[in-house]
Amino acid sequence: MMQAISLLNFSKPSPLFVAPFQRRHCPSIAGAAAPISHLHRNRCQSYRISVPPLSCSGTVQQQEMASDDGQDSRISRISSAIRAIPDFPKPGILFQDITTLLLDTKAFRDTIDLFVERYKDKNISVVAGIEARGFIFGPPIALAIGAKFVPMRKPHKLPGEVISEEYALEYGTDVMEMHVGAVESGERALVVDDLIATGGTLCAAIRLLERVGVQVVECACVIELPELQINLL
Amino acid sequence: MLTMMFNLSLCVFLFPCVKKKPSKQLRFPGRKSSKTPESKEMFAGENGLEGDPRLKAIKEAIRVVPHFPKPGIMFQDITTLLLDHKAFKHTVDIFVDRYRNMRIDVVAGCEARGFMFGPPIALAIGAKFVPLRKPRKLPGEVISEAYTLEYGTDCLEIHVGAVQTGERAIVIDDLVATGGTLCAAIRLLERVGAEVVECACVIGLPEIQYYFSAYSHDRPTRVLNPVSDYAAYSNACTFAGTKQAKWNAVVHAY
Repeated sequence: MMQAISLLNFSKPSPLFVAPFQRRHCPSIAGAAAPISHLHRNRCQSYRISVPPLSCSGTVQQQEMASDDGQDSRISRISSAIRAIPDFPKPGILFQDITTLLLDTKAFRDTIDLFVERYKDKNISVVAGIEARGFIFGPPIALAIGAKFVPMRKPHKLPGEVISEEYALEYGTDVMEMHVGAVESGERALVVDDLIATGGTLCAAIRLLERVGVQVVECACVIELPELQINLL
Repeated sequence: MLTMMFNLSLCVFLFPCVKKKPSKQLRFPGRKSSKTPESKEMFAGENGLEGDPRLKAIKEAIRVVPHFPKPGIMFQDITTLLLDHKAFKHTVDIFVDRYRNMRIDVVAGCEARGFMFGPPIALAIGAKFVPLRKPRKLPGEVISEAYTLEYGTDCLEIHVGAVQTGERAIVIDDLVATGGTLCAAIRLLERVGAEVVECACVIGLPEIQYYFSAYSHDRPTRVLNPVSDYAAYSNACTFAGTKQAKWNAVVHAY
């Protein structure tokens, strides 16, 4: 069972109605449980997710990270710093843009701090970041908690020997790669990305890491799309 | 004389410079006699960080992958540096030490490896981080700058409104070779009114010691790690395929 944890609870309503929500199965690793934490939940009423299910089974639960008064002010500022861009990359999609968060030095700092506070005592030795926006959040977290940073990249970007994992997109498939030897069996890892939608990308990252014997402790995302309740049979 | 010996110079910082006419004698780096005296200051190991043990650790953490992305290229792979937490931290610390008191408002990172070094630096010095991306990745309104590759062209984009006029910026990338990417980055930032104070790269290829391009922009770039792989990179001297694109490495003391 894979658990998705939301770090940020974003309650800004979106005026844009794109399509009725559809729940989709989310791929996961049979028998593997990797929680996903996200900072920001977009409560857009209608958001279309149409990624076809993958063949593996499992369960993903999403939770929001516990927030107390001290965190609330940080989270609301982070939430406000993220902007939504309509019809990107194609009509009907409301894109959650974290680049505006990166322009707010305090909010960016708080984002990293919230993740670091959560993971610093969890014996994490690996932070895996997914190309390309995971490269922005992953390294600061890795540096702060004393872990190594491992980039998970699109094909043909990593120069050394790699292992690959294919995953489904809305139309077609994509491939994620990781360097052979970057991680060692038994290490505890965190996977970082800016946003979780269907979880397909994160699942591919988890599979890559687990194939080499790493234990994925949790997945951490800044933003979660609201209707992403990924519960499988 | 070509040599295959690697002598990584780390933390290359290109300083503001006066444009010099390129000399044909400087076409093939490795001839130390033709190295401009000012270019020594470009490399952190020769200016201010001589003997700093951190540079050795950083250098040793970088691996070279031959024939990537194509035969004849010795690729400087920083992913092994990212696996060495201490060396990665040293890298960031060296840049932070340099820029923390320079009133930098903006750290711009070039996709994608600049994204790994830029944000930690930005966070530490209290600057905003601005990603410079390949086309059609940034969701909002963008401006674009095309630049020339060895074969063909590429393009960098920045969000409109990310940077305010008058803000002081540095550009971060993992490696500088001919400087084409950095030039495009500088032009983008200047088009939106920023003052590019310096460019900072973890690795610098040897040509950067002699050539400092940027069309009419002579912007400082500092490199942590000059690389002495002349055989693989000698052809990188011809940036843009035109002789005008030779870089004039002129650095003056700051």
